[in-house]
Amino acid sequence: MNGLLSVEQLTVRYGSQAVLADLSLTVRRDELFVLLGASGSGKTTLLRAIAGFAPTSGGRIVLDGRDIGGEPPHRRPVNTVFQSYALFPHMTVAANIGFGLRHMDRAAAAERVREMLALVRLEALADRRPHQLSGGQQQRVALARGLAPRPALLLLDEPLSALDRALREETRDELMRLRRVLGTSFILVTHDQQEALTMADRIGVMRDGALVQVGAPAEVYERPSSRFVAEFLGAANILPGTAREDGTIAVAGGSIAIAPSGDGLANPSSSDLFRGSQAAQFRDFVPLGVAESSPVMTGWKGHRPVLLALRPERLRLGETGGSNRLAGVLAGSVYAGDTLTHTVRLPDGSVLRVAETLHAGLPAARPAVGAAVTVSWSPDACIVLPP
Amino acid sequence: MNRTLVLAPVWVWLAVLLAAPLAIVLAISLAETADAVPPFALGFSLESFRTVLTDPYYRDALLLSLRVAVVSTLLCLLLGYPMALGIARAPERWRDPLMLALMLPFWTGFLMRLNAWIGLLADDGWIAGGLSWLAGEPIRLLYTDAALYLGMVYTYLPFMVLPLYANLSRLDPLLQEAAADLGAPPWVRFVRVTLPLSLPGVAAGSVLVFVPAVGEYVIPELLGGPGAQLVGRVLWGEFFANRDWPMASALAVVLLVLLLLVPFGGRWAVGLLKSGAARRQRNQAASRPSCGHNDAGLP
Repeated sequence: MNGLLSVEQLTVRYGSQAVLADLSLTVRRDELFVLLGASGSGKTTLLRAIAGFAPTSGGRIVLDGRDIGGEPPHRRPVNTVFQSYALFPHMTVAANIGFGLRHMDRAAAAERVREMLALVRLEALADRRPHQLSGGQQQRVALARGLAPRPALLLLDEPLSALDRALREETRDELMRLRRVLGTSFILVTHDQQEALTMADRIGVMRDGALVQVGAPAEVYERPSSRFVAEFLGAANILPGTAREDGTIAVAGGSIAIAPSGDGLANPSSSDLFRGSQAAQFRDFVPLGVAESSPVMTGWKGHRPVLLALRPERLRLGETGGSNRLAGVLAGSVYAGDTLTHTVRLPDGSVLRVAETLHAGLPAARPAVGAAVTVSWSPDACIVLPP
Repeated sequence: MNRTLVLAPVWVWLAVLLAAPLAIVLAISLAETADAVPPFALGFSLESFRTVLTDPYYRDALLLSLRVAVVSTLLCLLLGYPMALGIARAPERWRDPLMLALMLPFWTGFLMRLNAWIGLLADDGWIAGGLSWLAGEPIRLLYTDAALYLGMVYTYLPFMVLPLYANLSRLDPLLQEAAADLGAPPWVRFVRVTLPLSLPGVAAGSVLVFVPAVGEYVIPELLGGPGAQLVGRVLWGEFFANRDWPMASALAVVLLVLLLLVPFGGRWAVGLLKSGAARRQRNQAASRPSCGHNDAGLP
């Protein structure tokens, strides 16, 4: 393993409550690892534990082969970009950036500060104070300050959440550019799935103080290991069904064929990274993308309940989507500029959302609400999940 | 109209209880002594001011008062800063009880507490007596400079701790974390983050201690030695013993002017510190060989 950081069976308690329970994680060298989770899932606590601000009550944190778990924050070779930036209000931009360079000689530190100012394009503002800067500029100062001491690992706590939307995208691109230039390793915490999907090399999805799935963005999105992950990243239609011996799934209203092979994504050799509690529960129920070579969950065949997850954008209204189809009644259509999202009510009362991308604008001929419609999709759009 | 009405009590208060007495004191300071009741004749004489400013007796009293006030302020700062920091960093549920403990003595009368100190510091009191017994020879505390400073610090410490605590408890704890995260051990965090950010609190506390300490009369009178001829005592003496009202008033006016200079002086000193720090930063910036930015156009 070319692991840089390895967190082993980490437990963090606040009082008697375990915020992180027995959590293990490996972050590779030069990768941008995104911790994705809702608030309260423990992602920020994990970041603070790595930085040294959250006292751990069990487990190890090994960085570059060195156990840093017992060291105070100022001895750990990791730096943090705080959500509120935490810039020193009484220091200039240059002094803020140079704060972590106390151990360098003055000329070298000044040179490094100049370098960082150029990197984040703030040369002209070197002598300003933080309160004279805009939010985006403060964010860049915080980034430069964290990067200046050349940390082995930079921790970013919701770095974009305090910015408005336009600035967020700009800052995200800036962050990706810095990453390409510097080749540093990052752990970024966010609750925004779009941010996670667009930026991450790998995503770790957190829930209730545990990692439920770790993988590349496409892997986590297209082969979620659980209903939670499927619904947390993007939208998903969930249909309960029963797996049959012949490799199909019986749902209310029809029989659904499952692709014998996946969607062509390389199988990750990262099964050791996946230690979600869900997986442990369904040991024989190996989810897609985690098994060594099987593209489909091995072990789901046979007469047992499963969940079928379908992404709205993989479904088509009509017969053109693929060999799987279900009949229903159109309950409504919502126009969102680039997409038209249809809601189709199935005979058993469950609902399918179908997202139609409007490549050629809003079509003139559309099925009316209340019309009988068919929803079709291809077998490889099916995601089989444990119930 | 409403605004005027609301502010009227303030103006009346200031006029009757501040401006008028000040005017009277100023008038008396310019008067001449006379064998009358009250013992002055109004006029315009700068004689009292000339005496106050040239006679070594008054000058020394002023200088001694300033010295005692400066030393008392520094002692309060040295003692009060750790206290304020400790309370500000204490767990939430401890802060109020600790502040209460600090303020509690002030619920008893000031003279009563000083008299208690007289009892403790007297030759046969617990403190002086105990020390004498330990040393094997008599140790005097009451009516010495030690007792004077003890009384000053004891009395004025809360005036230092309160503004400092208000300042320190408002500092963002995240700044401490950011500094630690960037490799700063605790003492560097204190010197480079906490201390500079608490300077306004230091200034406020120092003024609150210094100003009343300069004119203090009761503490030197009750605890200090005969040599502690502070301006407050001299003023009292001029007024009640010598019945030289113009001289007492002139002394009061000079003291007032000196004290008015303190906040300005303090602001000037802080400004000097700040610009010094800025200059140091600029020098660092200038020492960067190929530094491209210029300061032009920056505020």
